[in-house]
Amino acid sequence: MSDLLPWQADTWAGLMARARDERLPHALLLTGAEGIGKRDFATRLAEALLCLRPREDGDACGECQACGLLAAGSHPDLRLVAPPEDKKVIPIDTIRAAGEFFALTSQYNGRQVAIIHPAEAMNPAAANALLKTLEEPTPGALLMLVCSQPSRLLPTIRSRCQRVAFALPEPAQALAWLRQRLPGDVDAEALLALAEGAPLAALRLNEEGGLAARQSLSRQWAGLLEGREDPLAVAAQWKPWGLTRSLQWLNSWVTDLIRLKSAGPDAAISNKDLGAQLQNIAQRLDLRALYAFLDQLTEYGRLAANNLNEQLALEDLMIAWRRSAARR
Amino acid sequence: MKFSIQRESILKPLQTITGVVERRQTLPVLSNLLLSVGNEGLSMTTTDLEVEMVARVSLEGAEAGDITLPARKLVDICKALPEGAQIDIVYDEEKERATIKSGRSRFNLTTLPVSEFPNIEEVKGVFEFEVPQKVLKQLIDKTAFAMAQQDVRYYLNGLLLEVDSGMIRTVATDGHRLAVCEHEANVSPGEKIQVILPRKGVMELARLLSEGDEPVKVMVGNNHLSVVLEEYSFTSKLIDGKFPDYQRVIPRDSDKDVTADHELLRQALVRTSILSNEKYRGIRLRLQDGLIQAQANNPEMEEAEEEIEVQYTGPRLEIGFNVSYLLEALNVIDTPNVKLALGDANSSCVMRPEGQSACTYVIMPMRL
Repeated sequence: MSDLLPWQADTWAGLMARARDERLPHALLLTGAEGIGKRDFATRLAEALLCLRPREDGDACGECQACGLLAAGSHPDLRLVAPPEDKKVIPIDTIRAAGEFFALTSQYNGRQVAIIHPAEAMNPAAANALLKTLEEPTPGALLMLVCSQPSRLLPTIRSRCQRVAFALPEPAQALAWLRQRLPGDVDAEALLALAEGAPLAALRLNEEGGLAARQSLSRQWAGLLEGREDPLAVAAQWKPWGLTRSLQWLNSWVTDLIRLKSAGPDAAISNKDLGAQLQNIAQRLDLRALYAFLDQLTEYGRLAANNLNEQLALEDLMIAWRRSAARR
Repeated sequence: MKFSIQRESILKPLQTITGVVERRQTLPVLSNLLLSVGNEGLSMTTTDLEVEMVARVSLEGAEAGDITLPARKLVDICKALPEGAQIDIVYDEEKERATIKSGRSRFNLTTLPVSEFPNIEEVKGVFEFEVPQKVLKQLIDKTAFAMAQQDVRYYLNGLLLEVDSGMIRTVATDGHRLAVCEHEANVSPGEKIQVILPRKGVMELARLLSEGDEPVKVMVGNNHLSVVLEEYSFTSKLIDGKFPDYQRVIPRDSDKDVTADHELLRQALVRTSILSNEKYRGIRLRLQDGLIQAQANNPEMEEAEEEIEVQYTGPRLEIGFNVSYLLEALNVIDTPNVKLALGDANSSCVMRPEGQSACTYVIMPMRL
């Protein structure tokens, strides 16, 4: 069983108290930024609810048959719903299968739990099929929708779930947690900034070598403006990081550039470690070009939910970025 | 764990219980079967999280223990060994592997921890009764065909088992037709018990039961239904829902009673159905004194007509049906004559075997 993340302690205690009083709703919508431990929380709650001999405080015992099956991933009363391998969307069949799962009785202690992650990945047909399950819950059923962009869910789904919102942890708390898990020579602060304050995302980023990659990517990105780099080659460098993350980083850089441009060199920016470089770029571009590029990023962010060719998208962005220099 | 067994004594039980093991498994442990050797002998368990099957075989001079083994591979190995072969199965705890030896053959199989195997330890909230095996089999065979398939009304995708005082009853419906069958039994629950057995469980149970007279023990729990035979146990989850009030569907005011020769009617309908619309399977019946005219046509404007002699006197009636529904009900009736009760063209037809009130079939008409 995973440890409780320190910034989730209050939420956990609240839900445990409600579980003790048998006052848990049939559906929870766990929302909050990516990488702050929502799914871990959901899994932990599922384990606590399905355990056959929960401890005093409501936590799973980790020893009973149910806990053993949960650890092995073969518990019959827990269903994890996610997009099929290599797919981004949860199709209707997966949701219908989950409905059938709830239609049958529970195997062990009368409870059945399904975790849908990420819930915003359900396509419209799947989301509508889920409504049926949400509307007529069977006794003992708990559905947890884990979602970082609740605005992309159907309003009818949102209104049928009780919302549990996870805020970003306090930077001090997040840093303390992060430092315990990082080797001493890693700049935890920069990493956390890069992950936009989400500690789990920061940890993952470190494993993937995010900080170093960002340095080189930002150098190349700046080089594009000077005509030193080939946009297609730069796009190829971005590709392994995926479109979503690329957009996130570009977004944060461009936002910083806009800040520098509007408020002068002393503006508070989030990518402090790249300050000099950004300063440099800011001098080369005008505000209009920056906003135009930001608009383009937002548009691709919207399109990314569909089946987008990531390589083409990145190449287009890099070419557009190179052109912004010329626009002056 | 260590035991040896004759090929024939393990093969049949193995084949019987591996039916529930699905070929494509998301959870690796579900493609395994649980072997446990204890004082009572060998017990083998398979599950697909919906249905669990246990087979028991007696053993002599075995060493106790529990392991899980790939089910299909074990069956294939046992099947491929020569007849009458002696099979030795030994588990090496250190390497976590099992060895199967027989004559000069030797197989080394991977195992998975027993703790990962989701078997049902006990069925809770139990009402128990015993019935002869063939009664239960009959009750299922006579009604199961009418179950719905993948209907969104999930409570229809199964068979209702009802235990009333002195009576057990099975009911299945897909919303277009209904089958009810009951049998007297020595049961007296405090109040009527209703559970819905899911489709897959019904199929597996029907496969397991035979026409014998031996009693089987049926245990109805809150979440499970268990049927215990001498060498096998069957446990299935239930469908968590409320079955519709089927009594209200059976028409009571049908005024046109027809008696037909079962085989004659069935064969005539089979022939007529050939030229019915492949999708809707519509057939038109014209009832008049002593005669039913059956007529069907398809989009190619081909037409089939049959006349069937029946015992009937009364007003004429023209009514349409899905011929598959009529035939499926006729297929499970085994009396020489069958009784039909009809009202008007918009009311359902009630079909019963002549001289028996145990089974009732209700079929909704179709507008042609």
